[in-house]
Amino acid sequence: MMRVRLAMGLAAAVPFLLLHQANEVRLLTKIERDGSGLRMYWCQGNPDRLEEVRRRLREASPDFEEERERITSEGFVISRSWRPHTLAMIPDTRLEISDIARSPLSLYTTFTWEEKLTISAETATASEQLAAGGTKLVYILQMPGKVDEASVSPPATVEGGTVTWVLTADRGEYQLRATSKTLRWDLLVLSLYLVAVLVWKGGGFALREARRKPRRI
Amino acid sequence: MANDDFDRELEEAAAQARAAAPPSLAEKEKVPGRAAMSAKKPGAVGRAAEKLTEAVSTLRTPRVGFRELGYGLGVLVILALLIQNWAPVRINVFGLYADVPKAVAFLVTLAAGMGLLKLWQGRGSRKADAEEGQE
Repeated sequence: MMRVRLAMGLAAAVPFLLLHQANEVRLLTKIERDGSGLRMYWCQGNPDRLEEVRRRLREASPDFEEERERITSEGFVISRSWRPHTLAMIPDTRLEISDIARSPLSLYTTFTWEEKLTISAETATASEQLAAGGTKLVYILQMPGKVDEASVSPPATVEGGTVTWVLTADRGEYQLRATSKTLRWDLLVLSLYLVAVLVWKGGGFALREARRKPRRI
Repeated sequence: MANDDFDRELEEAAAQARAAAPPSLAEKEKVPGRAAMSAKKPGAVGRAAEKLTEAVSTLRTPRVGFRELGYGLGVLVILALLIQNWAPVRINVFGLYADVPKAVAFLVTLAAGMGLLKLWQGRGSRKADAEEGQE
């Protein structure tokens, strides 16, 4: 029950009013190699809108564990984060990891992330919704290894393992997708070690056997 | 007897030849009554270098058998496990959250368990000693 509640909380749509009232909103999804990860909202705005933004942010992320806030004369920054042991439990998302069990002969592990992101404008007034085209959400996806640029949809800025989408609120729904891959260096190192041991020991044994053989004079 | 006389004559001739020859450069510089060594005492660096050289010269290449290779494999496996499990986990410390690598959390838990076990064993042995003393 708790897990379902948590998942529903995580799956809550991004409120349009949050984007509208804050100067900048970023949503970060960080995927770790083991399928765990970090989900974090980061908002920046003017001090006079702090209470409103905080309320909207808490509505958008009811079960996030940690909240940090920094207020200066120029503005405020609030972040709320959650670190699930597996990102696959979040509804409307799909994390596929082609690990050694799925593709044992490959040198790489592939990660595929898909998410249906909704920007909810239900409570916004008509005049507020007029500004939807200029209201943006920066969605940052950090994946293990290197992201395959061809796999990224919709088009985004890709840098190494990071994909950055700038999404406008005039569209209510986005289907985000990206794939990355990492080298299985651990298996590679172990295999090389075992091969080196076999060659060394096998070679030594063969040499000893060859020396032991009687030679014709 | 004739042979002995001949040997003696040869030795005398060799001694005469040595005395007639000009002294070599090394012999000229040689100070009588002293062994060949540097005039200066070795400094701290020199002494350290000497010690290091001695220590290094005592080292022997270890014999690499299947046991040593097995240890190497074990070390590699542990290193790979630690590095691959470096993904952070969130730990709740009385309401405060700390993100620590999973491998570190595992090692800390392991160390805490070992420490507790050692304390427990020490307490048990002390209790047994006290009981023996009473008897």
